[in-house]
Amino acid sequence: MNFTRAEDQLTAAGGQAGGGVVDPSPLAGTWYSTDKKTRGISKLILSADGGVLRVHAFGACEPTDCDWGEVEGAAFSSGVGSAEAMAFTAFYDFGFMETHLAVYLKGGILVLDSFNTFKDGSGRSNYFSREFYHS
Amino acid sequence: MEPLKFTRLNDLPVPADRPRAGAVDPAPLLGVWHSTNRATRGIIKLILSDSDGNFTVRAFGACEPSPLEWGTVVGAAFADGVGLRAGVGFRAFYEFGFMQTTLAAYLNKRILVVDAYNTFRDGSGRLNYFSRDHFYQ
Repeated sequence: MNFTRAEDQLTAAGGQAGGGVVDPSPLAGTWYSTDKKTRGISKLILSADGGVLRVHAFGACEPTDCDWGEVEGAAFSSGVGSAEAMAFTAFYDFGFMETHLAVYLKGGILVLDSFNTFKDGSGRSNYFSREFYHS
Repeated sequence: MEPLKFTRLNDLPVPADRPRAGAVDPAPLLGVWHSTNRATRGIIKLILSDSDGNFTVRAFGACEPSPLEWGTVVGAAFADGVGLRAGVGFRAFYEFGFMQTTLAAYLNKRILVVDAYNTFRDGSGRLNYFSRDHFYQ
């Protein structure tokens, strides 16, 4: 079995191969920023549709939030032998910029890192931000 | 001049934080980073470099009897805001054929926090997984 590091390998403690599909349902729900004054992402709606994770994000805008629309996400578990999702990635291409979301669940809080790349020549620096969400 | 497009308020420069033309400076990220966990089963070491203006990532996976070198890939550095230049985070992507790994990392008080999102493509039945390692210099 190919591997790139020890944790890629199945161990007795790590369970057995489960068919290769991570169940995204533990992530499903509506997640609100813990910072009501956020200038980042105010809300996420995650749904598990037929085993597929769907991500619907809303940016903090005034007077109302910016609806980013829905994209498909990729769900990840905590190890090669676990099928329960505890993290996901998603990608938004807005044309003038791109946003990669890298997110994990910890103690009932969703921790979201966004990596934002501008493509519009505006001189804005590509930037990273981190936010927290409760359901 | 056309107004700046944005997806959230963070995309807009604040008056004291005007955009300056130029790429993100990866300097704060550069160097050799060692895992804080000597018994890690994940990534044991990272070498981050600036090679002819390209930010590069060279990772080593924990393996016995010696680490597995993943090779060098071009990464992308990110600042802490649209008007700032100092690198505080990066992304990198490794294509191993049988699996893919996306690294999403950021600096927190000189600890580099690296999240790995790992996707198997070999039909081995292993489940796609997330892992996190911390690194110091």
